[in-house]
Amino acid sequence: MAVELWIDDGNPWYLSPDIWTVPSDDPNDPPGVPYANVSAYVWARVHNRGTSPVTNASVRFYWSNPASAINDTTAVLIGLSNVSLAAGETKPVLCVTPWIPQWVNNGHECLIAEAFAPTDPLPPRSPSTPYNVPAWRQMAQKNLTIGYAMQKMGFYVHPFLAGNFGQREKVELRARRAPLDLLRPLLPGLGLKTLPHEAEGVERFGVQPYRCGDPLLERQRPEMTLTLPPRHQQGVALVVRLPETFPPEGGALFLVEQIEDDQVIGGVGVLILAETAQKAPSTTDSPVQTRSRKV
Amino acid sequence: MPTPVAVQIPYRPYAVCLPTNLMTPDGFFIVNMGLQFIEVQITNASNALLKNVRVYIEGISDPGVVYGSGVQTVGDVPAGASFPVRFLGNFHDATPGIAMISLIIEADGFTFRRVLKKLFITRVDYHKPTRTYSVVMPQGTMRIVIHRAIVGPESKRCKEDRGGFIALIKDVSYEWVPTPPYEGVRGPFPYEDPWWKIALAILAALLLLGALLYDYFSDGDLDGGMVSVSGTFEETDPSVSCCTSVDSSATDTGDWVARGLYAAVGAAATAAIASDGPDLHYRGQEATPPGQKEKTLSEKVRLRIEYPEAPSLGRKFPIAGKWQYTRTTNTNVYTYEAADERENLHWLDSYEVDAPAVHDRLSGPLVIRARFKKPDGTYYTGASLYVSAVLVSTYGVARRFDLQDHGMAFDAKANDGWYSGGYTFKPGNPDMAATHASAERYDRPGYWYLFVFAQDVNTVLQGTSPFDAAHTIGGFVLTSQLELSFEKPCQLRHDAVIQVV
Repeated sequence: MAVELWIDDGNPWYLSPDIWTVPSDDPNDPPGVPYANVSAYVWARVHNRGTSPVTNASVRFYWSNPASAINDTTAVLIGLSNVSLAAGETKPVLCVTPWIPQWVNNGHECLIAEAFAPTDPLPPRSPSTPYNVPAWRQMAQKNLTIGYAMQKMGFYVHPFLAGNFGQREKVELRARRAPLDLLRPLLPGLGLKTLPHEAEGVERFGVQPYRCGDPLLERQRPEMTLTLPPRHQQGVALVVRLPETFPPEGGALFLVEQIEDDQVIGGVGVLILAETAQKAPSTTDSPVQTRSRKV
Repeated sequence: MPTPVAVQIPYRPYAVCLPTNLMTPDGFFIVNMGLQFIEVQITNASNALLKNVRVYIEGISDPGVVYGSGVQTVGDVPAGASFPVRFLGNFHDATPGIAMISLIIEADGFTFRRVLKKLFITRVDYHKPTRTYSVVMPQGTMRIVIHRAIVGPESKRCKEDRGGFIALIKDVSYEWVPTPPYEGVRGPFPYEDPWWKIALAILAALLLLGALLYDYFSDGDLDGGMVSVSGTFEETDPSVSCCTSVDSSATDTGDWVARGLYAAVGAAATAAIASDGPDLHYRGQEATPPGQKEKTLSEKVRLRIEYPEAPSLGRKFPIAGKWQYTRTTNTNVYTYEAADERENLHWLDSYEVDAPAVHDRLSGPLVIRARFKKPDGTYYTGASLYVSAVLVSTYGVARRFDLQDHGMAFDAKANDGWYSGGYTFKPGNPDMAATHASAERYDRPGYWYLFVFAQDVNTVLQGTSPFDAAHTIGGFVLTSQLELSFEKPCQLRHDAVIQVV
């Protein structure tokens, strides 16, 4: 192929290392996690793995309400940029329009970037077509929340949306704890210098239907099947029981994935760190990732 | 390992008006103008030639600005040279305020460099019932009423004229309503810049263009309304007429050469009194400190201008003004009055234009050069000037091009003070010469009149404090082709005449 644009997926695919944010008025500042109501810049790393140069490629940046599946009706355009790439070249591309994260679904939002050119167009899609990120090389997604466990918090709750963009009546969700080493490629973009060590005592977790204020279930199950009509979304939550004191240098990564025909069609990553690892935001606004809930 | 290409963009990008090819006052981008060029001067900051330089816009923060993607190939750039790149942008849906533009500069043997600069964007609205102009900006809106103006000849020089084409403001008042009200002597500077005078200068410049173009002024809808210039003033001065007529050596179809200059006159005169030195608004604020906890709700300025002589472009014309500043707070009203006598600071000691008397269209491009001497005897160099030229034929066609001091293409040496440029005449098919469709493809032999315009550039460096920035304005025409006169004909003089064969 003459021009072949890529924004690389991560492992799992919805944790792309090619998308990152800079929570500052200056996009050249170090990367880090964004804060609600504080301007941030979004970057994407775009590769041309084709044999021809491209001088007029475009890059679209979106944010989305955190959901296990996303399409054009749920993604919100942040901005559009241009990039010129020689064959085999890689460039970081800045979304010059600042992104001001909102308190949607308790603050967590996910980011999507896609690159295309007249000589390398995107696969055709309708507004209702779920983004097939792992199959579309030009698109990548970063759907990772960093949350902080406070003393005697009891439970960590991460709400998000499960969406049914298929034709079936049921949606299957699976949560799992994943090794922190999966985040190693993402460290520079997260503003973290080193990986935390695996926290102990964080083994009980599950997913459940959830809206703000709903009671938490006594017995958490890592798998859940929702009855949900096509083109509908429902609030759900990852619920993690926390130890009395979260290890100060520890961390725990959880992945919640939406499964269809044994394929992961969407996912949400949640990294829980000790409260002491939290950096204060530059303003009085609360960070997107901070939430506490005592039950 | 390759390093980023050593280039700098010391000054902010500026807007160039399409029909006139002149820079707007202080380089502001004006929503009402819709299409305009985004031009930026890039400097090779290394001590070596940069090869195969390319530039493109990575993005503009305001999604309402539509611009062309794609890479501009500049070529090889000598050490220390400043070269312009120009992109077409549509600002029709832009938001007044400051937008960021990200430019990517590449050259062979280096990695790319990203440079972020600010674009200053404003919009002018017009409210017919109250004859009030509004200059819109994020920190508030300036409402301007022109009580009296001197208007130029009422002749039908331009086919579409709705009134005169010289308009010199004599009596104007404006009200500034800060958003939100502020405590202390002064609120934030709009655009971090000398906004107060620039707003008047932009309006003065647009008055003339506005009468002639759709959508220059709007009632906020940009719906294509047409405005008559003189009809927007409370009264025109019946005792004085500027330019009873205009004697012109050459006239292009649409009269854009003259229109650009007339617009520039208004801007220069208004800025000269309002002023190039300490800003009168700033001085009014300084003289009326409010009490503690008082909040300023509005500020008004009434300015009456006297013209001891006609304010010709590029001349050190005197100008006088009496003004009153009024501050209204939530508990008090404060006023301050003053009278000023000033001179236009935007002028040249002299300028030279080198052009051949005869040019053969088949011999290659016509090359001209010019240099511009400052009042202190030194010459402008490099990116400190924006220089454009126009060739006007005897049959009304105009050909525009720019002159550069960058040591590339037609220019022999960078930063030597000589600005050079060229135009390749199109011999075309003489049989098609008379048809309208051929006008852009064929340049007829005969006499062509050359005008070379130099405009100063706002040389405030990014990061300069607002107070210091407030002392510098750019975008004023320094050359003196248009000589204004009260009560007698004005003169529009060419810089050279070239016989094209």
